Amino acid sequence: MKLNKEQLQEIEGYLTKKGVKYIDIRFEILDHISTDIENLMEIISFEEAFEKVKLKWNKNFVNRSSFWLGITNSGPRIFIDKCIRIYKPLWFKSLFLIVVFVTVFYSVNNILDYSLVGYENYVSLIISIGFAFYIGLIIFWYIRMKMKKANTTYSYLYYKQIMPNLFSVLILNPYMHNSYITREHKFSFIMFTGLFIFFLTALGANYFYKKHSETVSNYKNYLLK
Amino acid sequence: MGNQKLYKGSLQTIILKLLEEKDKMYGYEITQKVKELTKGELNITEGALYPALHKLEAEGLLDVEVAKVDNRLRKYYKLTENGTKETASKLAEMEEFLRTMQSIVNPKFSLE
Repeated sequence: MKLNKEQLQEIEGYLTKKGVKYIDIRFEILDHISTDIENLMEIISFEEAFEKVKLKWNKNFVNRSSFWLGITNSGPRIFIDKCIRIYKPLWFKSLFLIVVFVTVFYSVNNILDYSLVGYENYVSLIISIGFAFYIGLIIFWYIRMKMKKANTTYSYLYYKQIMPNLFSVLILNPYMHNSYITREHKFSFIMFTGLFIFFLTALGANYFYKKHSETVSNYKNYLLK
Repeated sequence: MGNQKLYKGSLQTIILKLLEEKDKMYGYEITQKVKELTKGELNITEGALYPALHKLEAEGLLDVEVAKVDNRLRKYYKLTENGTKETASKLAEMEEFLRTMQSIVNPKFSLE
């Protein structure tokens, strides 16, 4: 037996109450619950079937947080688990790249005999341009995502994991240009590692932005109707 | 039903195998198909199915397609090119595992 509009709305209300608002997961669960109820309605009423199905799903909607996403960021278990499955591999890949960068940069910086005397202003200018470009890009993607008026797991990760990095700019800001060059007139290993982390964040931001756009475009034709 | 823990580690292989046989499937369909194939022996819960599907999707092994069915949206999963390759590799691994287990549990019989 097929569900009517009111019954579907009732299920949607249940999902909203449980905090399942991200389209890539919401429509999938709505369909699963609805199909399950429809099959049960061959033998029992909608109300009984809905209660039975809710019992199965409730444990997946228990509010939880994770060390990986920051303990203050909580949400339904099934959603947070999906976020972790996306975020954790990226975190490990980034860690690997940082280790490679640190090893190569530190070795090359120590081996090469060079001096940045007279180039301080150029280094400072390039870093400032890089920072401006970084901030501009992160804000541009943020606005583009907001304009799509739909939330996905990827937009959540962007808002919670990428946006806070803009505040880190205050710590590693371009006005600290003196810190980027050591007293020995060489590139500062610590500060450039910081810049590399910013670069990786930009790659992560681009990944979340692209996946969000891809997900929204999958649903676009139906969301407009 | 008591074997659920033994099946748990094979869930991704099961999903990939089903999608290899059928072009695209949705979550509920996968649970029902597994129940049907195993005559009710294996019951995939929602709490196990979706994390596995989302992991395979995040790894780029599954692609997603959305269609409107009965007044609601249905999310179909299908294998990507990498997913097809990974399925072959996972199935070969599984066969090897079953052969090894067979030789330990019941050496008199062979799977071949």
